[in-house]
Amino acid sequence: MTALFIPFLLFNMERKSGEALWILRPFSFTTGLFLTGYNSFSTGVKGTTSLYLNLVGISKKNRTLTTENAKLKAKLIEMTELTLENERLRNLLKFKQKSEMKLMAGKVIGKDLVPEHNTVTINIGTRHGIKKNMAVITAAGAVGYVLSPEVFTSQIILLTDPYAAIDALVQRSRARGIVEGHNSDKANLNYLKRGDDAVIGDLVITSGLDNIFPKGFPVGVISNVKKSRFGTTQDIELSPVINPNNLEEVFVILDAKLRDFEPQPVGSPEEIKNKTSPKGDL
Amino acid sequence: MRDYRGAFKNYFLFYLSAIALTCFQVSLWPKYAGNIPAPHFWIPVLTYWNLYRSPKEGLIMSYLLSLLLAPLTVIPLGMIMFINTIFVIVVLAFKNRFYQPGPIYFSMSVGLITFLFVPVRYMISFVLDNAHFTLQIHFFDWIFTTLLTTLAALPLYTIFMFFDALTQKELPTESGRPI
Repeated sequence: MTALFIPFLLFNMERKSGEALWILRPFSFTTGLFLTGYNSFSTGVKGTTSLYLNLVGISKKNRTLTTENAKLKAKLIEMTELTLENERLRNLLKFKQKSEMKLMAGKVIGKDLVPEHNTVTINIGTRHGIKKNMAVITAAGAVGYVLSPEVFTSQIILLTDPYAAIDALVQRSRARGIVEGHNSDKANLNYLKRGDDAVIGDLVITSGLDNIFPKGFPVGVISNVKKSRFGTTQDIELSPVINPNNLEEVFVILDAKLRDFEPQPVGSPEEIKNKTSPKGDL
Repeated sequence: MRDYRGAFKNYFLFYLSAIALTCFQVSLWPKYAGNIPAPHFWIPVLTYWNLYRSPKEGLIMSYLLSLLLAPLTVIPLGMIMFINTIFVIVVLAFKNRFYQPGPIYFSMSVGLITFLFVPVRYMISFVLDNAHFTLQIHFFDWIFTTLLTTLAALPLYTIFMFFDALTQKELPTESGRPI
């Protein structure tokens, strides 16, 4: 029984403070160093291996490449024009991102120890300005938020983790609920009233009310709606816009600058009201 | 007089290998093995220390391992400690009932603990966690992880024995140590 006392004490301390315990800091630091080291090692190994593999097949490829080269030369002129256009658009996008939000790119260097949970470790931490509860996104949509930032690394809880919760809206009907993780490829939209309008295919976006995500960022698409005969809420299942298994690079929002990602509705106030009001109540 | 230096070296070697193995599990394994579930590399260390050390030493190692695991998962530290402490009790009980020297027995014990990880984790979560209970059991991951960890325990046993020999730690006796 004495052996179980310490875990119980720590469990209560963690629950009360809601923060990672100070005792964990040296351990987080050490594991962070190991993860960063492994990441550098793996990048080096990958480079060397691919170089060797390239050398093995090089003579075979040489003949094919010579013939292909002629064809490609012709295409090059066409491609140059496209490249220039691409460059321009990229610069525009960069400019837009710079002016609207302060983002920091991070590389995924580790996954959760237990397959039932969905957290990832990224290679940026407090040293780079990362703080707890900062939003993490990709170009496709919301990924999760910073759970515990360390000096060189940060642990990100993905929105598909059962411990994650994000305040969200159904974009079409403005019905509000909480997105909670379920498993690696599903999440639930909970606490939606029975009468709230939500159908399969509706896009769910961040509401901005949790002070983590900017408003209007895509979270997922409704894949299933269940209404039991009794009860005041409905069960809604979401397919997240991101695939947590394939995450490689993410952005941490350092400063959202009150950015609203939703396109502003066009039309008179009356039309907008009619479009957005829920269809019925209980 | 007790050899404190040797004991410290022994703790250090085992703990360092636990860190290296666990970080490998969360970092390099997903990179190279993709979505194939990784073996739980801390379980062989925990099992070894509880089979071939005194219960007190085994318990200390289980606490130290919990501190190492907590930054690598979303599961709270207290809960990980609970799980590891239960494993200490299970290993000691198993050792009391049935003991055989050698790597096969060690590997079997590791397999048992890995298999129990999922139900114990769910049970503890059900009792202690006030968060919504939406965890799902991934049966394939569960079985595969158990098999891989059991297999990984065989070479690890040799490495752990080598660590003991290196630090002049008394090697496991045939009957095990009294509990």
